[in-house]
Amino acid sequence: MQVRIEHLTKKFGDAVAVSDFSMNFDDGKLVALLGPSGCGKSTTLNMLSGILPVTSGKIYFDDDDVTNTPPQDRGVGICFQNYALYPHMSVLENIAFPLEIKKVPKEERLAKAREMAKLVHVDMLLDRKPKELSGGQQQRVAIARALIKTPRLLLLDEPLSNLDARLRLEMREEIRRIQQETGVTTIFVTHDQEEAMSICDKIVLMKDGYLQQEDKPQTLYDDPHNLFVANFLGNPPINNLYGTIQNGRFVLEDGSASIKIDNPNAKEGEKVVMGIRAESVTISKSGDHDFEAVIKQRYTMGKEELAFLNIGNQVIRVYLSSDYTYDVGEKVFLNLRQKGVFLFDQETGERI
Amino acid sequence: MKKIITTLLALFVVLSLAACSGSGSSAVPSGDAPAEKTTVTIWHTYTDAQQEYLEKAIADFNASQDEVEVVAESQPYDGFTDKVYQAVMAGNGPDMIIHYASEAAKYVADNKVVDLSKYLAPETVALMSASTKEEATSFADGQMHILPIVSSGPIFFYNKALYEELGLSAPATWADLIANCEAVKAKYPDMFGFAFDSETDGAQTLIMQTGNKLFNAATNEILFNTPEVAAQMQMYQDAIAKGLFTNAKSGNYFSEDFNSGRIAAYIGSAAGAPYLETEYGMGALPQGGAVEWVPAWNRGMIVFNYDDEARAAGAAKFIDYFAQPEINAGWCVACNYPATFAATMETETYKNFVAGNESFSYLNAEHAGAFPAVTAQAYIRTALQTLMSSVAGGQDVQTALDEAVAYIQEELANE
Amino acid sequence: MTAKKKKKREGGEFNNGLEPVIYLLPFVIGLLIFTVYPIINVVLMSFKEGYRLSGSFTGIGLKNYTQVLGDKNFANAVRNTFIYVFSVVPIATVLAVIIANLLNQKIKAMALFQTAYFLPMVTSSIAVGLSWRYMFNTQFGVINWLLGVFGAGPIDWLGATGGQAPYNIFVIIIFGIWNMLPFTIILLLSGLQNIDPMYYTAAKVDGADSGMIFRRITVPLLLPTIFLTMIINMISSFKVYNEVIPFWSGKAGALSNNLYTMVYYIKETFYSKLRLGNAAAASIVLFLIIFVFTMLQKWVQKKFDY
Repeated sequence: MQVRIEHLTKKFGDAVAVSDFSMNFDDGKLVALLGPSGCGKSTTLNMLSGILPVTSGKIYFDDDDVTNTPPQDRGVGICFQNYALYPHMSVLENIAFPLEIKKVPKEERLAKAREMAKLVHVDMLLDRKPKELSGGQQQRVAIARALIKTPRLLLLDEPLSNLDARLRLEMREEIRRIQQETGVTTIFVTHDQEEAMSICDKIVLMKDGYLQQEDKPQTLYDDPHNLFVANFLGNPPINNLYGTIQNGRFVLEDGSASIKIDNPNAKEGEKVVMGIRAESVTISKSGDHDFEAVIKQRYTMGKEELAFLNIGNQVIRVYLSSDYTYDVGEKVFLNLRQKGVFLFDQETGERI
Repeated sequence: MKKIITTLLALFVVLSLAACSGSGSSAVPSGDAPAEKTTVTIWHTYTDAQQEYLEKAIADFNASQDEVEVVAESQPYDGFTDKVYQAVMAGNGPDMIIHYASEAAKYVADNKVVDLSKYLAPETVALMSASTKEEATSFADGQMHILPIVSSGPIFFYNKALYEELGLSAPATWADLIANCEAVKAKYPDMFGFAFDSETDGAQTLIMQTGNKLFNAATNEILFNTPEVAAQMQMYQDAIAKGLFTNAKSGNYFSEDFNSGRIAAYIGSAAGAPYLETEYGMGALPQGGAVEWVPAWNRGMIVFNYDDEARAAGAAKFIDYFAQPEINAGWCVACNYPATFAATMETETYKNFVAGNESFSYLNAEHAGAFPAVTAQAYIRTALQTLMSSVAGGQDVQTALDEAVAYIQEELANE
Repeated sequence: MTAKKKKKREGGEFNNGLEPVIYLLPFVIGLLIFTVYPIINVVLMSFKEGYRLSGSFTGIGLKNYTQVLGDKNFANAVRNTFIYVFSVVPIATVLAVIIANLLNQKIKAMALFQTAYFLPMVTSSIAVGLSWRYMFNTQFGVINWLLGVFGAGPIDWLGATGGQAPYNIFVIIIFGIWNMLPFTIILLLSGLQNIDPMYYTAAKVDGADSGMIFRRITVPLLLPTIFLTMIINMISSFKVYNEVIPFWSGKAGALSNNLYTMVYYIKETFYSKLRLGNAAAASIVLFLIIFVFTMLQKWVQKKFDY
C-alpha cells in the first residue's frame, strides 16, 4: 500500500511539532523516519497510526483519505518503543490479542498466532510470559502482534532503542527479513542514522518538524542537500571547515591555509562551510597535495586508526593510512577525493 | 526470610490487641512512701467544676495534715476502668477511685480491694443508711469495699403540655401508666406513650417490684424466672405490641425522642433533666408490685490493696475527710448528684441545692436498691437487656426468661 | 595484619564488628518489648488455667482452648466474623475497583468526588457510626426512606423481633464496606496509575472497547494490587470491633450478645468477664485463622505475579 501525506501539520498549543510535511511512502518498502529527538518523527508516526489527530493536512492510504479515520479502522499494525506487551498474557495470547478484540474464534486466532510466532522465530516460547523473554524476543513478539491483523501498514517506533548493541545488529536484520517476507509497507522511527542506513529502502530525514531530505540511504550520504543532512549522517561525523572563496580556492577564516576547489557554483568572496568526510582525505608524507596539516592527536577505533589534524587553527578528523607511522606534531600532506567533499552556504546551510 | 517477616508482621497485627493488655500500661507508679509522708493517689476522669472541687478538697486535706499527701491524676474517660484494672493488677495503679460498686467487685477475687471497715473512722461508717450499707457490703466476701458518696437514679419524665391537654397526671402504678398511654395513643396515633431509657434498669425494676431477687451470689442461684416476673414481662410486651411503649431509640438516649415529640413520657436518669428541651413534668417511678422498689446508682470511694497498711490508712483518712457532710454536700453540688448520707442532706448547702433540683424529690430514696455487686453482674446485665429486647420483639415471654437464665448459667459454668 | 586493622578503622568494612549491632539495638529492643514479649506472654497465658492478672494460675493445660471452643458465644463470634469478612471484603473490593477506575478517568468535579470518597478515612469510625445509626433508624432513617421509595421495607435494621435480630449484621456489613472503601480506593488508584498507558493505547489501536480494556487489561494488571488490598482488608476485617460499637451503645447487637465478633468476644472476655486465659486462647485462635487465610491468599497471589 502506498502512503501519501500532504501538507501535514501538527501543533501542540503554540509549539509546532510537524510543519507542512508532504511525501509518498512507496508500496512494500521499508522506510526510516530519521532525525534527532524532538524533530517530529514520532509525532508523524502517531498521526499515521491515528493515535494523534492532525492539525491540518491529509493522509491517504492508497486512495483512501484516512485523515479522520480512527486507529482501529486504518489497518495499521504498531510496534511500540517499549513493546507494550501485556505482562499478564503469554506470548501466544499477546500475539493473538488483536484478533481476540475482533472476536475471531479461538481456534482460528491461536492458529494464526502460531503462524506469526513462527515467522518471527518465537514459536518455541509461546507459553512464556513477557518478563521471561529477552529484549530481542520481546521485540519479535511485539512485531508478531502488530502483524497478526495483516495490516496494510506496519509502524515501528524506535524498535531497537531498548536493545543492547549486539541484539540491535541482530534485530535490525530480522526486521529487514520479516519486512521482506511479508512485503508490508513499513515505516520505522529512529534517531540512529546507522540503523536507518543499514536496512532501509529509503530514509526520511527530519529536523524541527521540517522534512530535510528523503532518499535512498547511500544517496543521502553521498549527496546531502544541506549541512544538517551531511552532519547527521556518517560516523565519524563529517569535518566542517569554515572559510571563504578567494580566487577559486577555499581559504580558512584566519587565512592560515587554503584548499583548491573545483566547484563551478562557488562564488568569489562567499562565506562557506566545507564538509569533508573522513574517508575522503588521503594522507601522505610527501608528494602532490591539496593542503598541509599537523597531527594533533591519534586514536584507534576498532581496526582503524584516526587522527585529529590541525589545519591552520581548525581541526579535522581523518583516517590514517597504515603504510606509514605518524608522530604527533608531524607535518603531513593531504589530498581530497572527489566524492565526499561538499560546500555549503554558511548562512543557509544549503549545498552549493 | 521473607516468610518469617510476613509471619512476624501478621503476628504483630493480630496480637496488637493483646499486646495492649500485656504491656500497654504506662501509668506512673504512685511512688512508695517517703520517709515522712505517705503519698496516696486518686485517679479520676472529672473535668471542669468537679475537677476543681476535687482538687481543692485535696489541697485542703493535704494542708490539714503532715502524714499523708493525696495526689490527683486526671485520666482519659475512654477505657478508664480497663486502664485502672491493668494498673492495679500490675501493682502500679491508683490507691483510690470514685466509681460504682460493680467496679470494686472485679477485684474481690484477687484481694485487690481494701476492706474499708478496717480503716475508716467509725463516724464515717455510721454515715451510711441501712440500704446503703447493704450495698457497700454486698460483695462475694461480705467485706465493705465501697463507701457510696453520691447517688442517682431514674425518675419519670412526661410531656407537661400534652399531659395537661389530656388531663393526665404522673402515674402511680404501671396500670395508670398504660391508661395514660392509651389516652395519648387515642389522640396522637403516631406518638408512643412511654419508654425505658435503660432496658436493663427497666427489667430490674419490673423484677424487683415483684418481690423476687435477681441472683443469690452464695449459691449462684438465678431467682427471677418466676410467674410474677413473667406477668410483668407480659405487660411490657403487650404495651409494646399495642404501640403504647417503644424500645427503639433514635439516638443514645430517649431524651432526644422526648424532645422531638416522638414519645410522651420516659423513665431516665434524674441527671438527664438539663438535656430536656420540651417542657416536662416529673414523677416517681410507677409501682404496683408486691413491694415498692426503684433502682439506685450509687458511686463511692474504692481503695485498692497493695499490701501497704500506710497507704490504705492514708486513703481512708482522705475518705473520712471527703465524706464529712459539708464537704460531701459540696461534692454533690459540683456533680449535680443527690446525696446518700442523711447527714449531708441536713446541711444548708445541700438544702439550697435540692431546692433548685425538683427532680431529686422523685428519687424515692427510701425504696432504692442497687444492682448486686457480684462478678456475675456482667452476665446478668447482658441477660436482662436481651430479655427486654426479645420480649419487646415479640418472643414468647417464658422462652425469653428461660433463655436469659440459660445464658447466665452457661457463663457461670465457664468461670 | 596491621594494614587490615587500619582499613577497618577507616570504616571501609561495614559487615564486621559491633558497630552495626549498636545501630540496630534500639529497634531490636523495641521489637522485643512491644512485639515479641507480648506475643510470648499471650501464648503462655492461653495455656494457664484460671490465670489472673496478679500472676496467679491454677494449672497448665488446654482448658482455656476447650472452654473457648466449646463456648456458644465464641462459635457465634466466629460465625459473625466470617460472615462479615466474606461479605465486606469481596463487596468492598469490587466496588473499590469500579470507583477507583472511575476516579482514574478525567471527569469534572473530581475534587468533590475524591473528598466524598475519602471522607471515611479522615473521620473516626465511631463518630461516623453514630450518624449512621440515625440513617438506619426504622422510622425516620434515610435508608428505610430510600427503600420506601422503591416500595420495600421498612426493615428493622437495629432492632430485634421475637428474640431474633436478623438485620443487625447487615448494619455492620454496610457500614464496614463504607469504611473500607477509601483506603482500598487509594491503594487501587495508585495501582491504576502505575499501569503504563501504553497498554491502553496498544489495545485501543487494535480496536478494543472500554469494557474489553477493563476486563482484559486493567483488571488483570491490577490484580497484584487487588490481592494486596484484600489481604490487608481481610486482616483488619477479622478484627472487626469498632464497627459494632456505635450502633447499640457499645453492646454487640440489639440482643446485646447476638453480634459478637471475635475481637468483641476477646475484649468482653478479658475486661468484663475477667477470664484472661480464655481471652488469650481466643486471641491465638483468631491469630491462627488470620494466619491461615493470609498464607492462602499469598499462595494464590503468587500465581498472579507478573
